[in-house]
Amino acid sequence: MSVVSEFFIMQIMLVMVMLGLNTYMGIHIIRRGIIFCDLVLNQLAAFGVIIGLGLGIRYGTPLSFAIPVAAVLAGCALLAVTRPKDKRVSAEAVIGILYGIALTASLLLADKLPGGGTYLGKTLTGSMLWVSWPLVLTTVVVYAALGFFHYIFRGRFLKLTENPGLLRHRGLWDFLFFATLGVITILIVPVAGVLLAYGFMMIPASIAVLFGRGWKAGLIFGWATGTIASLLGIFMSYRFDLPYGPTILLVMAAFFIGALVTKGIMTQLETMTKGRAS
Amino acid sequence: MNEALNLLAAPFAACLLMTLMLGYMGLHVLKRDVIFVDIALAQFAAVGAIAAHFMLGVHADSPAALALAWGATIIASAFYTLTRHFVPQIRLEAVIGISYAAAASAAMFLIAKGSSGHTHIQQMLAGNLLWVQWKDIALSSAVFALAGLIFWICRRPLHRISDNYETAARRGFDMMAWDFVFYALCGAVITVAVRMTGVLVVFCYLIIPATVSALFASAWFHRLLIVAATGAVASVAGLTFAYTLDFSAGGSVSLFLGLAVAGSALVAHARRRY
Amino acid sequence: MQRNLMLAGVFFVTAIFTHGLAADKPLRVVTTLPDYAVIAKAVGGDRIMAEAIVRGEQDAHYIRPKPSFVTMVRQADVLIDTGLDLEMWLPAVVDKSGNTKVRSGQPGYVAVAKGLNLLEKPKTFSRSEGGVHVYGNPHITCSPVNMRTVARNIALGLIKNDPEGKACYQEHAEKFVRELDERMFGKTLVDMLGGDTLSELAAKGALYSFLEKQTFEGRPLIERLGGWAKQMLPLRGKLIITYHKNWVYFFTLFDLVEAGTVEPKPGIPPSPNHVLALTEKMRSQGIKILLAANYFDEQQVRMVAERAGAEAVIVPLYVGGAPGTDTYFDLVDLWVSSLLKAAINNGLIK
Repeated sequence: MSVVSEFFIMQIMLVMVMLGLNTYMGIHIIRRGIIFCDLVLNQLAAFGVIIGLGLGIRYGTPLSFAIPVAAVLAGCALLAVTRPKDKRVSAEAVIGILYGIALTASLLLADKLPGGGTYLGKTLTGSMLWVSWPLVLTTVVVYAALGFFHYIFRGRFLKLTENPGLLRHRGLWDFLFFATLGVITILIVPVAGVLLAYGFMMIPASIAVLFGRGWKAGLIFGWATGTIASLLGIFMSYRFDLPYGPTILLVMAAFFIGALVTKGIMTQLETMTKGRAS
Repeated sequence: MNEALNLLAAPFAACLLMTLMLGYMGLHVLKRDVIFVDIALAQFAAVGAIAAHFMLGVHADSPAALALAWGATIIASAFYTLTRHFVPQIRLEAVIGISYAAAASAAMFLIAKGSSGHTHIQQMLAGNLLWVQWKDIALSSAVFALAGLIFWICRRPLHRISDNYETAARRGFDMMAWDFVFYALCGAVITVAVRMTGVLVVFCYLIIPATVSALFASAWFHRLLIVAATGAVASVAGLTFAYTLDFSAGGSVSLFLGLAVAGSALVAHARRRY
Repeated sequence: MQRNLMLAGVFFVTAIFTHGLAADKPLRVVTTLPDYAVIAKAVGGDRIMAEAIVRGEQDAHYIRPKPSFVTMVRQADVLIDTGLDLEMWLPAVVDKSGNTKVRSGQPGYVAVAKGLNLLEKPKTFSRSEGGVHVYGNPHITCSPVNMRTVARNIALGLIKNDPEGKACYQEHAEKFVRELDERMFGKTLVDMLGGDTLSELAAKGALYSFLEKQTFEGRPLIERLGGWAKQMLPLRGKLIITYHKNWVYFFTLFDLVEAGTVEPKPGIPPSPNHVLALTEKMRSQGIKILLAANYFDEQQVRMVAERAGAEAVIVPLYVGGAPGTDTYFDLVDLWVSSLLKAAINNGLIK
């Protein structure tokens, strides 16, 4: 198998496996209105990665994941604890500040490490170029486990999002939800970078929410469009010699804008025809 | 000591400007709950400047670059306004988050594709605060003064809208027009500020002093005082920290702003308890 | 008689005193790269104090200028930098320091690359091409031959600022140049042809072919070659991949072939297209060595090498960048021995 085909097969597999669960989690996130939480967790994972790089820990070993895990867990805890009871400070402000602090910490640490400047860029744009078979395999296994778990308990998580008051042991399910996010974050951020990881989580899900009637249709539609967009981005990056992570994200964003415009037009047409009908 | 003052005079002046202008704007931003809109606008301003540099070949300091940067923020604001109006099926935050990530990626894309490698990501995020020149400060002062003047002239309607968005809409304010004025002003201020201190630092100055003030006061005037105090103290502490321990100046100032809000949160929490 | 003695004594003491005064105030020399600092010290001896801003294991492109640099430059009598577009952060530091005598164009400023024949001059001036360096490749410190010019330029700079030390500086500079030549070509050839001639040939990449053709007393000159040039002879014509275009001048000297670069733009991750093409090329052409400066992310360098089935040779680019490289000679020794070791490991040479 040539190096090129191997590269594409690995990337395609990774993207397809990733986007299924990501679309599902993303739809939950949008419905719950906690959109920027994912950005905070991503940036904390990146901070953990920089610490690891600074300590010389070899990427891909269990230890290299330990520090991001700790950082992300701390983030989850902070997000839970700092839900403000104060009406004067909104939840979004708190999340925004947490993101700012996480990014500042990453910046300052990268600044002090020799060669650290490149680390910051790397955690933002990712190193998907260096995806390897062990990584793909790990991702498949972990995602399969998480997917299975969420399939079995899908009812509970649905209730958590749509009707949390009626859910028994709500705190537990909330924690499990964030824990799933955390695991995904830690797997994806070192490879895809903060920005693309956020895109993988939010863009297919947003497209799903725009068009999907009901969960199943939305999930499939989001997964499919997301996969097509990502593959197109990968292909364009290869064909036109473009920077990898940013190209994929920009193509996905273009699909999203297309979806927005389409939906906007559709809505306008609907109101116009309805107006005429009545 | 003399050396330190010499070196830190211009950076401190820049920080003071940020505190006053961005801090004030932050009060509006906090009340309107559009926090992430502003980090997105800051990122768009950054991309605009980078695009001008790499695609038009103009210097980052030129009027063309500033115009493109400001234009980028206007386009973003228009995009958000239109989306909010025409596509209500999806929360605006999702759109803002995605556009922020997209703008940041576009910046990385341009840096990678067009760069000689001398534009650094740290520069985009934290600017060149330590090396800011008096002519940059002059330009920023002029823009801030003008924006400040317009804010002052329009303070009644703008404050009223910020204080209670829904009520103002019902009262017959032309929301789209006033929103446009607000975002155009923010965009201009943010564009010029990002040029001096980068996306992250601008965001911190926008949101953190305002949040601290919201924890301890409600009247506009009181909040403004707290904003000024918080910003000034954090700036001095941050610059001193950067100077003595050899850290990035912009990053250090953000760090101390973060410490300020964390500390304030603990104090406010304790006060509520007792 | 007593009066004469006293006068002599006064003269004597005055002479010592003034000489002591002159020698007591060494010239404060600040350099960008550590290589320039060690050469300046070799040339200036006790008449100067030299310190470098960049540390040996740092990437000169990527320095975030610190306040401490401003202090250093403010107190400097002489500022030495490459003079091309490598140390782009320097002008802001000089400005802030307020030290006008070390500004570009002033006597206190020395651009060591002056008079060097630069390689890889860009043909077009398009910024969108990502033109990295507009004058030509600025990594001149990789060639011992270039350092001869550097030493001489530093001597000129020091003389301008301390005319009294002229003889001292010239003598030391020529001594340093001589040592460079002998380490580079071996004493025999330097005595026969002179360092200037040999260096000119080497800088053009024509040394080996010239020595093969010229004979003396029935044997081709190349048999009398010594020094690094002789050590590197087995690697002549071999294909090597470099991580970044740091090594052009080194490769030209020893007739090595740079078969590709991993990261053409410093700090910017290479595109998939580029990486895939490179790894394919390395596998198909049997390129076994990847040469990288030690300020790059070591894991990334080793990953690329592994993917391509090659060995990563990671060396410091500047003096002091690794233990045992405190002089320029030690540094070049390390480069040579590391490359040879890797070549032997991979069966490229016996």
